[in-house]
Amino acid sequence: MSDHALTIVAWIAIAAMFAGLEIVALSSRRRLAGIGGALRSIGGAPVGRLVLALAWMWLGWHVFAR
Amino acid sequence: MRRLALPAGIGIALAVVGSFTTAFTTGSEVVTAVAIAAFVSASLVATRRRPIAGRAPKPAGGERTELAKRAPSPGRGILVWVVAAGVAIAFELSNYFLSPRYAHPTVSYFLSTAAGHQWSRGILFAAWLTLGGYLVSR
Repeated sequence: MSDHALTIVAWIAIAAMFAGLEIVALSSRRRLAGIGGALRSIGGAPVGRLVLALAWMWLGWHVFAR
Repeated sequence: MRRLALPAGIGIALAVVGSFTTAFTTGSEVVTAVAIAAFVSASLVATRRRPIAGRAPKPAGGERTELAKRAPSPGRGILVWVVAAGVAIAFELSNYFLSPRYAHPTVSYFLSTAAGHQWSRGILFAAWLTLGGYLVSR
């Protein structure tokens, strides 16, 4: 298997990990926060809100502009 | 519903205009900069309207409301998401510093490929704006 294929498989595994965590969160009756709850928690503090805002801006600029 | 009409209209217009642009051009920079400026403006307005933490009125008798009892406590179950994000970021960085780029694709590789067509670029732009709207509304 080439490095390219191996890396893509690893990315798929990481995406599956996120999807799995979300499914576990949905079925855990709020014991584990979902991705929305995690973002709300991080955005609850001013520093967290700033980090999320900067990350969003960087993502857009990186993907669409540069 | 009417409150959402204006931002949704602006978002759709930006996504449509953004779909006609190409990365590394003045047009794409202008459209993205307009979206970021709108996000910053909306964030500032939302921050002014948001009640200051800790100053919310407490329920009578000092009892926690039923809703508050059912809601997850802040930070609960967040650690697993932080660890998962750390794994993804570490893998992204390791790929970024390895070469050749084709053998070790980063998230940018997938996103650039996905944004290669006009329609997919419009959808990605709309998804990015929706995420921004979600962050502002929280």
